[in-house]
Amino acid sequence: MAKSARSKKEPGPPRVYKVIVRMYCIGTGDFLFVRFYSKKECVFTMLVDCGACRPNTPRFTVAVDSFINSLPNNILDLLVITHEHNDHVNGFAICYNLFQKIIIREAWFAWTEDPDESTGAARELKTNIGTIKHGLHHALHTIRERETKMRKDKGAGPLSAKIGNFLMALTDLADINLSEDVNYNLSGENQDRGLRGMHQAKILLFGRNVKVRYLYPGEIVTLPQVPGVRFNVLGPPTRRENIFRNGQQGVDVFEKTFALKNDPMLANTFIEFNRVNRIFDLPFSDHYYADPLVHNGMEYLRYLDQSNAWRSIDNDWLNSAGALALRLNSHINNTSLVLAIESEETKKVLLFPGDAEYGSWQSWHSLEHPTGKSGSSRSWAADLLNRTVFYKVSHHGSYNGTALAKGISMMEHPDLIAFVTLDLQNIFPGWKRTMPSRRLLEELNRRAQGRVIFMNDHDINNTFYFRQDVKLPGLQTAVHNKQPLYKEVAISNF
Amino acid sequence: MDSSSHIKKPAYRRLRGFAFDPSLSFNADTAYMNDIVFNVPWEDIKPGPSGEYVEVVDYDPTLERMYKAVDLDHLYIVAQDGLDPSESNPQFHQQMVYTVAMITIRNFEMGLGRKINWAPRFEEEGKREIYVPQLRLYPHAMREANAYYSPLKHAILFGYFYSMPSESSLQLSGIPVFTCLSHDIIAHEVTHAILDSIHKDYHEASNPDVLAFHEAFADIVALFQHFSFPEALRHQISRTQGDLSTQNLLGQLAQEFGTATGKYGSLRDAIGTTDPETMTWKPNIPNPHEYRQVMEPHARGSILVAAVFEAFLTMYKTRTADLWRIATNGTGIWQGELQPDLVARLAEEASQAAAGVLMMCIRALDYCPPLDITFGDFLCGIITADIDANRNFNRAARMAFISAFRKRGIYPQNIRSLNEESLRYPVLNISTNIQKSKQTTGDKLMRLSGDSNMLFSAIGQFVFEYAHAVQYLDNRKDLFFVTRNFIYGSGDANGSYALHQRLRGICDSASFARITGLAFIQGFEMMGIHHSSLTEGPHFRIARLELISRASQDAGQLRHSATGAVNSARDGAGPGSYKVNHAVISLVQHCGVVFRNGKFDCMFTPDKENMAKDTQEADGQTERFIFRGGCTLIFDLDTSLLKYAICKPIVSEESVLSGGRPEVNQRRIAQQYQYRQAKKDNLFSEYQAFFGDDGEQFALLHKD
Repeated sequence: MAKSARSKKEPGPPRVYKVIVRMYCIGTGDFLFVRFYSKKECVFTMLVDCGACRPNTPRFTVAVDSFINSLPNNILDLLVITHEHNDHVNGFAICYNLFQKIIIREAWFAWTEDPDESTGAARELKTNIGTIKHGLHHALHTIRERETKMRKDKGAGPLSAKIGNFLMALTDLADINLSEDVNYNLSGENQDRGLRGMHQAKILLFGRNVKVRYLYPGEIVTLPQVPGVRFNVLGPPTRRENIFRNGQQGVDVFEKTFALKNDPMLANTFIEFNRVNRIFDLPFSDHYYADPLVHNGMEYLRYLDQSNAWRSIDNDWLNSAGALALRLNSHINNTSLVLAIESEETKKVLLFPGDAEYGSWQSWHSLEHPTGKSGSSRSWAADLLNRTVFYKVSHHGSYNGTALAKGISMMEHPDLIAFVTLDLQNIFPGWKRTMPSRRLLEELNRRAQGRVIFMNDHDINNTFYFRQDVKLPGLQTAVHNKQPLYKEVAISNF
Repeated sequence: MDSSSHIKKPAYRRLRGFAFDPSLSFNADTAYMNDIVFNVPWEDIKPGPSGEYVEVVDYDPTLERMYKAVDLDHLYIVAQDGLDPSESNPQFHQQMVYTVAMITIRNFEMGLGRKINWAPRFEEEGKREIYVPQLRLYPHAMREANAYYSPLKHAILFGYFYSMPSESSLQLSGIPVFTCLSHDIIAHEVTHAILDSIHKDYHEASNPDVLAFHEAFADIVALFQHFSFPEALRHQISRTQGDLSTQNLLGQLAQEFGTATGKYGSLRDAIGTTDPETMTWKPNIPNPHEYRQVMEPHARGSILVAAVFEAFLTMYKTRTADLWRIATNGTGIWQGELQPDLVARLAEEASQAAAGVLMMCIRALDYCPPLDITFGDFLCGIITADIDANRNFNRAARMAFISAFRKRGIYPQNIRSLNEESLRYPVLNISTNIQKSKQTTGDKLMRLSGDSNMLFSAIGQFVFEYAHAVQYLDNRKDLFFVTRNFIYGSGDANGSYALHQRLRGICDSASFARITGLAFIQGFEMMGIHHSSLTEGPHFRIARLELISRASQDAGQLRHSATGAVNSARDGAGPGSYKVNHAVISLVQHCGVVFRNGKFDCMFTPDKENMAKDTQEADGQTERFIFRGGCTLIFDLDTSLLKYAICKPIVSEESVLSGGRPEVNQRRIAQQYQYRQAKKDNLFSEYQAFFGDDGEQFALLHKD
């Protein structure tokens, strides 16, 4: 797709806006509603994602209702879907009927979602991710089967508890990443249509005369409703290396991240494992394999000897499924659409990075300013980070969601406000160990001078005792059934 | 019998293999020195290979199939020094893991002066120990860029994967890489297993150094074994112009694995790093901050590896200074390529220096505390072991160690100065046999009360008898069971003789408590230590009972032979060498600690059934954990003296000295609490954060 058409500049001086950013509190996940006001009039509405892990339908309905009621004339000007993870999109499936009632003018996705992308990179990435998804699905199947058998044979014990815990953590990651609808045929091909939420969201758009754009890093989009506002696209990266990039601990990221290297062998192993005839993935020539019936089965006897059962290794390799799931999760995070919304007049920036991880952050810094004039000796991205006044903290405040030297260390604006879409009461238990990252929060808290807003303060204030009281006079909290419904903050003079 | 019955068994079995890993055989420059013949001590062997120490079981669970096992006794295989090195023949993979495992075991046995027995197995926690004769090696156990020693299965699992290089110019992408073909990976994992057999409490990360020590030691052994490959050594000396402090293969680990997992070169490098931006190698500069800041076990272990490697470089430079002067007519400047004779002489010196360093490190293991080890403790162990073995000789080597450690900020706590004498563990010289001690030593003896004299005499008598019983035992299984019987008794009437029975009679001995730092003192119940199940005394565990009986050689007399194993040039005692005759007893105790709101609250007595586990915090404010103390007692059998007590005290020194009510050691508890808190903030492995600790802490990469 060509560089997006820049709309004709409106005559007259650029307007100064007030922006209200609202975070719906529906459990860890993103559901952000952004309104631009010119004078007292709401001129532009934007929704960034709608999803939560462990979704609760009644809560979702209340939140989506509230969102729709806040739309002027039932019109949403812009829908942004950052990436295909359930904690960002499952709301579109759960509340599909409600979303059907509104009019959506325009929708933006990352270039990786474009079915007609010309270089083939998007398709390659999708195929790749599809293979890992397929592999993970099979891994889950095999592990579940074995866990059930073990419980049946040996009853509950420390070993089956260990496998049970592993399975639970794996299922949690699968819940975010794997499609609910597809029944992978064990011998069949991958027919993944994607997450239900993503699928339903697209149904809302296609065939309903909604303008859909797929955005590339380096693009700057302007819209007629909000003259003087630039939507700078920073991610996802177009170079596949960046999607698999690893950061160095202490310099690039607060904590070491996982090796994101793409190893197709592992995914294929899980896919092939349940096939009857495996001929494609044998590492050695066929004649090296011992036949249990010839050779007197000598090799097999030694391994299968019951007195040595305690040191058998039938299940150990299945732990690799954990690495596979983490890799998949990070790959998809790095396909997040990243928007830095900038005011031409005040130069302030609102940063919505989705769940971008280090590889994406790093790639922003090699982007050239599209018009060649950044007006600063710094790189374009550094300049934008430098002027950021609102930061939707990437990946719910995890250790690898926000880059260190090339991210948080560049956010120097004295008015910085950060929203963390994290709710420790509504999250997968395994995720609490990585979210939030204490060191990231310390740094955020210092830079935002305490203006770090969590979806739910539970377990935040007592766990992170360093945290100062939030000094944010404009913060509004709406409550429903004694639980926060949303939190919002107004950024005047944007 | 046939006529061959008078023919002696060969000393070695010649087996071909890779000096490093297969990747170097693709490079014309390095191919010839990479394909070498290892000399493995000859043993009776079954297909597998399955020998006395290890059995290779080539089951591939990802395929649910077995590979045919290699028969190393097959006439054709014997005749051609084992199978051809080949990535595509799994039987060669079996041969390779067997070979390197045996070479590594042999090197440890040479250093320790005794046979290695694997850690025993417990069918259930706290139940009887079961003898495990063979370590299992699974060459194709998973499809992942990883390999690990599993203490639960007494097995090493090697993975294989497709290479994923950062840039395709470095390596082909998508080719299979087998961790079981890398000398470094095999030696590293086998060392984990051996270390686990000596110090099984080094599993427990009670301070940031413990797991890092495990990793560092495994790397050190793998690195210094490189120097026993003569072709590789000469090749690298020639290429570096004799300067081993520049980039070279000897100081690097796992080239193929490193490149295949996206690094720019080896997995780890003891002397330098390659900058991924500029692609240039530059030497590391020692930085004492690293020891304070780096916490991830492998990265922290690299600090120790770098220190040991620097000690080696210093020794190598000292040893070769004269050669350089002779060769360069005193100018020190050599132009052009090194002359082959000089290369050979330099290689000889490098090999000897490396063997010396490796031996010093291996021997130090006997002089380390049974748990909670720090790098500083290891340094003290090296110095103490070497002074005992070599007295006034080898001082230059010890100085090289001290200086290299100092540059990296590694030294024990509470030390006044960094010299040999203050780094050596204090010599106690407590008599275990008054009559004999007076005759054999002129040293001043520590004065003890009458009861304590009885106690130490009894222990002295015990170690003496133990030494006699095992001194000439050559069979590993006998050694294991005789030692078990000496510890727990054989169950018959003579059981009262066993060490456990003797020690559990001690309920209140201030001297014993002071020397060991353990709560063999009245009031131990209040410290959260439960009773021994049979007597009034406190509960304790005997972690080690071992004999150190080795002819000492100073480092210079050891050399790596062309066999791949370290040989001593001269056996037995001679001028300038001494015979070390020591016995080691390690004791361990534990109790429970409660912290509330970040402050020490009280002690608790842990549940006997579930003793090893930390209790989960209920309200988020209270934290309970197990606190352990231990002591390694080293007895000199020749002089009948208790020579050293290397302690991690569970009681506070002051409370025992004052003779009042015993207090738990708050200093160590505070340190452990601090470390536990720091661990919560440091995410060592994303995998563990999501999936929990899978109990396999000795993975090559901890799955990252």
